[in-house]
Amino acid sequence: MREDTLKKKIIRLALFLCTFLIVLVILSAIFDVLRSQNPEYVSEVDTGLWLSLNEPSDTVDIMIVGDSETLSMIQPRQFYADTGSTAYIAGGAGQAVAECYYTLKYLYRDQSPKLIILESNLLTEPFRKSEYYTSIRNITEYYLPIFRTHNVWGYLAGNSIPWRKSDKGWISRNNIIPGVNSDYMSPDLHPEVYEIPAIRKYYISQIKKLCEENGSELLVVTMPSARNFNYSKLTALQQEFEQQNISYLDLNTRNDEIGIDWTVDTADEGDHINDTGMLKVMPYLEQYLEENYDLPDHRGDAAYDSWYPVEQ
Amino acid sequence: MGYTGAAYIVCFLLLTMVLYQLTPKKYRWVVFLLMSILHFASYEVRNIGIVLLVTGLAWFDGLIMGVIKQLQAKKPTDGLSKEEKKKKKARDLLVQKVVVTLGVLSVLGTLFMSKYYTFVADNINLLMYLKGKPMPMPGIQVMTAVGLSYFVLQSVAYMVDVYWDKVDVQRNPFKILMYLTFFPTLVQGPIALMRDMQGTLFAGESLKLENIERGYIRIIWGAFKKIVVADRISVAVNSLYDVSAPKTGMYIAAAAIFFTIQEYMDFSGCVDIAIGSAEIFGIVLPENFRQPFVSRNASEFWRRWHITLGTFFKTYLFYPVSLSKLTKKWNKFGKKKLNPYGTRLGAMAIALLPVWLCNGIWHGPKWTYIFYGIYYFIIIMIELALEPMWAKVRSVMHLDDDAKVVVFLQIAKTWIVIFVGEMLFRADTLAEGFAMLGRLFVDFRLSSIWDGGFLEIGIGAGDYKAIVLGIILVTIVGAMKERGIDVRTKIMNAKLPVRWAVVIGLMVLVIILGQYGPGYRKIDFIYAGF
Repeated sequence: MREDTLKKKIIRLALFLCTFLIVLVILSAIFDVLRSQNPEYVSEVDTGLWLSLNEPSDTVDIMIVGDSETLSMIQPRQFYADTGSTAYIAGGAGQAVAECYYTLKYLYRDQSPKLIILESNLLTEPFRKSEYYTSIRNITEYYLPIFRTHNVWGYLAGNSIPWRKSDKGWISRNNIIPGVNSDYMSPDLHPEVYEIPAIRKYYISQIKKLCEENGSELLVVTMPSARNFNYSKLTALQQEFEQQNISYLDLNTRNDEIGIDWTVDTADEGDHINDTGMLKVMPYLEQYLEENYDLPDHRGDAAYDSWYPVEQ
Repeated sequence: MGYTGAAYIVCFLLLTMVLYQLTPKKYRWVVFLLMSILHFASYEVRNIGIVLLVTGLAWFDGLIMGVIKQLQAKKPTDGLSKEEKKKKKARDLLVQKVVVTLGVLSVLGTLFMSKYYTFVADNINLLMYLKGKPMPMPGIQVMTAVGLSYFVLQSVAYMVDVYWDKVDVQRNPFKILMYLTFFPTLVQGPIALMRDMQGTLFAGESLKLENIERGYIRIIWGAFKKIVVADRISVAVNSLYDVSAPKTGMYIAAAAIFFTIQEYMDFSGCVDIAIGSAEIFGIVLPENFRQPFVSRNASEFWRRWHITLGTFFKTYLFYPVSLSKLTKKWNKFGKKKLNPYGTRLGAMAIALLPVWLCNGIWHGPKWTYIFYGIYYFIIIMIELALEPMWAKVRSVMHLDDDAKVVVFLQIAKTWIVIFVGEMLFRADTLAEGFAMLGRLFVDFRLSSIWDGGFLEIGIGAGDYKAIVLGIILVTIVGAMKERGIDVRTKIMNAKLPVRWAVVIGLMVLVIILGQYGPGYRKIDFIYAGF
């Protein structure tokens, strides 16, 4: 070994890394097959993403992405019964904006949604330095999915499947924990200037570009959240989306029309709305989408019957 | 920046290697310094003041000691009588002792204020409260730093070694700072002494592919232990130790065994990563573990488990106490009043008690840790006391000391000692630890192993399979090492396809079986909290 020249050593190192990379690519392919053949074997955080990939190709009209605020935006089956359009919630708890971008890249492999709805909380929640790392991790996981799907082996080897009650990405929140200031959007409460971190701005522009390349429209929605949202964040988002020419809908400043009652419509002191809150937001959103977007109505098409509400 | 994350293993180490190699040999230690500061800052930048304070104290004390020794050496002794020379020597030594004592106390004082003050104050206040008196100890805002317990011991060792002439005085404070915060050892050790490190740490030897390969194999092995076994079993350990759902019988036994496995895999895994990281740069760190589970008694266990902590206490506490006036007085007393057996036991107790008290206290400000130290003191004293009797039993039964049945029984006994110790160590409180010990004998059913209850403690059948596979691999590698076969050297000397297959195979095992990714919470190294 010692007699090897530096050039030989470098070639050998490069060959080793190439071999390792090839092994990872092969493993990624194998684990992707395992994942798709065992749709229930996904980690809880990835529920929305992976399960949406198990929908038949090109059947989702609206893809909803973002953090836990997305989980109570609509009830997809009721939404379908009301509008005839299919909407899937592919968001997940704690999803960062980089994660959101790569989730969409994943989804575009199988689906061609007409509209992408991005919930904005991931742009205004407290910034963590780890978002840079999350960004790198997501790039790696996108190109080498073994790093994301590796846990499938555990379920195949006998681990119990995580309990979940996701229905087209929707998760019921039927408890009530009130206790918030319903005047949370008052400009006097938050006069400070909120600055959206640069990495988030970058990924927003990337998401917009990705949507354009895939022929989707992009709509950013801010869900009612008395704990997370305020006037200063609203101003920052409005400025940013105006600059980037992105459609934006804030539901916090439209409460006169929606009617969220923070004494009964929140599951966790104003962090997320609960099921009754969702039943107030959904009709508003349905009407807004009908007025502003040209979405298909599949009702009557037997291929989409699985989207109707399930009889209990 | 966790040692098992890609940020450290890939990005940080690669960047360090590039910067190191591009820097002239003379200044390569500066790369270590900058990268160590960066590594420290990735945990907490605001508490760097403590590191700087400890560094400053150690550097200043070493410097003063050096100057004093120089001045004392220069002072002419010609013309002095033998008696005067003796007096001068004693005076010189006293000055040196005062300097080293002040240095050590100031550094230990920093450790006390940052780590132990609140514990001591709370206990004193509680005692006063129970006596109906006012609570005298004020609460203060304490600052602590990652790795504090480790670099404080290293700084103490440096100052004492300068006093003992075991190490050269380091005049450059930045070199001391680099040594104390050296990124591979910062979080969990091993406790590397300046006297062992200075030869390679500042040498700036060029990178060698062989070292990089060897280092990375060790790092991957450490990551395997940590994220495949330790992190996976930790979920079960947390469930078994959950005080809101107290367990009994077999589950208590499992709690002790599982935690021992977790702790060993976690701690030795981190040390593997530390040793591998340093090895990349040609720096040899001391080993911290040597197959501890084949130990035949508690003393041997501590010569194989957390070796560098044991070595530290042996060198800087056990030997000085053994040679102290108190021990000499005891030996004198023993010779007159006791038999050699009693004298020896007493002398050992005098030297071992501070060692084990300090060992327990070092782990942290908790009664469970302090008791853990006392527990081993008692066990080792019992072992020493019973040794003559045990030798007689063996002789009567015509059993060789190395007979298989003897070795088996001794190892089994040591395992019980270890498991009980770890159970008390991991418990939230001492009362809970003893309560667990009591519940061990309640509802003890072997059928618990197969009635499915162990699948209800947070880990599934798949997890158990991965854990067992990990334990088997670690046991095989350990058994080979015990027989003098270094698996890593074997791999390095194997033909290229075999070498690559083994290394890539290990990396793939870590990637597939490792507990990480979405839905998993990162689990900190256990010993990083001490």
